[in-house]
Amino acid sequence: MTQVVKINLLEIVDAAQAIQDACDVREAAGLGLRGCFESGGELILIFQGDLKTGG
Amino acid sequence: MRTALISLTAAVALLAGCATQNTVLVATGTVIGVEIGQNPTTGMYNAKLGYDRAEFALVPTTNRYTPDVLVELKYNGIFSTGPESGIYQRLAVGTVAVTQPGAMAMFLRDSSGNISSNTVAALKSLASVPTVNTATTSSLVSIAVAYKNAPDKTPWNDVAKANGYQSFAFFLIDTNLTPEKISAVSSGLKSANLIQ
Repeated sequence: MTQVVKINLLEIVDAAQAIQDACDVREAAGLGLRGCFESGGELILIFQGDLKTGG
Repeated sequence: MRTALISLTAAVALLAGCATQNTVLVATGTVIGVEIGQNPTTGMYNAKLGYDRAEFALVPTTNRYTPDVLVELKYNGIFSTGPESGIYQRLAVGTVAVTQPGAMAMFLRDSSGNISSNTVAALKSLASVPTVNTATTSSLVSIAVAYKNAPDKTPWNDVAKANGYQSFAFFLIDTNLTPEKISAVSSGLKSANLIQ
């Protein structure tokens, strides 16, 4: 599946940490960061992968 | 004429990460090459795709300019006449090109050159995607790591289902998470002795 995540760059102090947290949480769910770009002050993160639902 | 000769496998290579002061080293074990040039008069870029026996290449740069190049090549039985043969290429050159949304969309294609319907839907809904609360996400990290390392996901899924989620993974990627939702799921996880 694909999930698009937006982070408002104006509302965060540590962008690197925010990105790392978003990646860590989604990695646990089974999604990997496919790419990212900035648009209008928002960081767009695109995750793709298969959700981990089993053992 | 500023020229860069790049050899690479079917993978994405961001050359800026391999730069020294005057050259960019690209080393792979392939025979497919991309020649990238910039006309000094017009500033226009041009690129040629071909074959080269080199296993690595030094990309010369001038005036401490490091070329911004984003390249992906897919090579499928180039000498075959079947429908699977050919070269698939994605190329973005220049500071603007490698960072603009269009380049991102280009690289969202899968190895067959298609964009899945799921990806299209995600891109179409980009404007309506809510911005995530980074504080909320941060509070989820320790729970996410514990879930990732858990050998049996079943009790985790049970807690998530009790809180209205299809599975625990869906809970983790919920972009509308609130502190209250996290608190409710956390309580369930603690009751099940899955977290401290």
